[in-house]
Amino acid sequence: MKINRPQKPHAAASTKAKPPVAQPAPPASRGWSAKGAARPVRAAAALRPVDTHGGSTLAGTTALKPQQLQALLDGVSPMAERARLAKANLEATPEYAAASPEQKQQLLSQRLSSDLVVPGLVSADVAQLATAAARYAVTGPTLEANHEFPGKKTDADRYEVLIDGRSIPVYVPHDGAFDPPFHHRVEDAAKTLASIPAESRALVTQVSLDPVANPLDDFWSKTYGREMTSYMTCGADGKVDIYPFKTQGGTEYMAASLIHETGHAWSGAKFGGDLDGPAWAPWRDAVAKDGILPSQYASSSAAEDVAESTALYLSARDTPAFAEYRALYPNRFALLDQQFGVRP
Amino acid sequence: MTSRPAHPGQITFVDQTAKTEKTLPVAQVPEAVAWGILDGQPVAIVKVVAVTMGPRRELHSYAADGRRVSTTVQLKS
Repeated sequence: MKINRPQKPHAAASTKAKPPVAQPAPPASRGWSAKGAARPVRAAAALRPVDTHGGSTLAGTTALKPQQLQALLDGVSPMAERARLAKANLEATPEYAAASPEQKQQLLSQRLSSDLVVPGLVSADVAQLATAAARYAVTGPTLEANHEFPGKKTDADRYEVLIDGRSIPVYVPHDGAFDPPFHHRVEDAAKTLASIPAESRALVTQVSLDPVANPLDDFWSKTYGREMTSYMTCGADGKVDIYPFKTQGGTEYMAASLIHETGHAWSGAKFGGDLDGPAWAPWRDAVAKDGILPSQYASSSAAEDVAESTALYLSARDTPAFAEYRALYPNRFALLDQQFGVRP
Repeated sequence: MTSRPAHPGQITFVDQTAKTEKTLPVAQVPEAVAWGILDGQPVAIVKVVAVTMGPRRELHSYAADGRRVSTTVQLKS
């Protein structure tokens, strides 16, 4: 079914993950304190029934097991392609040539689990997702006066995206005005909702293509000391806000972010908010046993590791690379099998 | 929607990447940061955890019972 109103040209944020950069610690004069040190506002302790952050930044990688090395070097994924190139470059070095067999194995393990091979961020393969997309239809719009977008109350057009017998409303500003100017279209949202795994789609109850940037961006920049621009907010109630952006790009970031969010949703419900608590022990054990990370971003916490692992699992599930990833991350995938009902 | 419950009064902002945190009185925090929705009901946010790596930052908001209320994905401007 066609959308009644033509949409303006659009664009999206870049998906290309850059190598991580060191983050400077915020200055103490702003009221920050090192974790574990005396805090300027001790009353904070009374507000912490659970520790939602913990010290759970994940360490790097343990030595890869032979089956993991094999999976990487024989695989079909982008990681495997990078692994073969990294191996060839390593073998050309004098250090490798002079090494003992055991040292060579160690050097290879280090090289293949480094950022030369492990991506900055798990990205959804949009082409692959599109081939497995559910059928969808878009109806509307209906006009809703004085709709409350974050940061702006204005008339909105409400479309209905119909997928698998369910309707997901998508809101856009009626006047078509976006500031900054680049934005997704209703059709982008519909295609993305249809292409993401059903488990991810089930979490979404509403999508808003907001007319203005997140009004909290200034607050977040002041609070955390680095200027960044919001791309998306996902509420636990399933409401998704996508903000307009300053530069042109594609829609793949929408899919990747929604699938990543699925990982936060199921792990938060199952393991809770205390990343260092006993409920998270199975995931922490799986990470320790697997060694290699699904992405560099996953190293930032157990919560991000599960989100990135979930993104990898769900986006690769119906692809030839799935068996390769299972061999690379057998313990994480065993837990994900339990969560998503898959029998290996 | 039902009326809001009382807010505990302070919100802890954790920078997980830098391993730092600070606490602000709720009066100094925007409404949209201090409150969220869980199960259709307004809920006080008591903690926000930021995770930054490279060009990406995620901001996770939590209720007093430890449940995650929302996540905002940010990109380098």
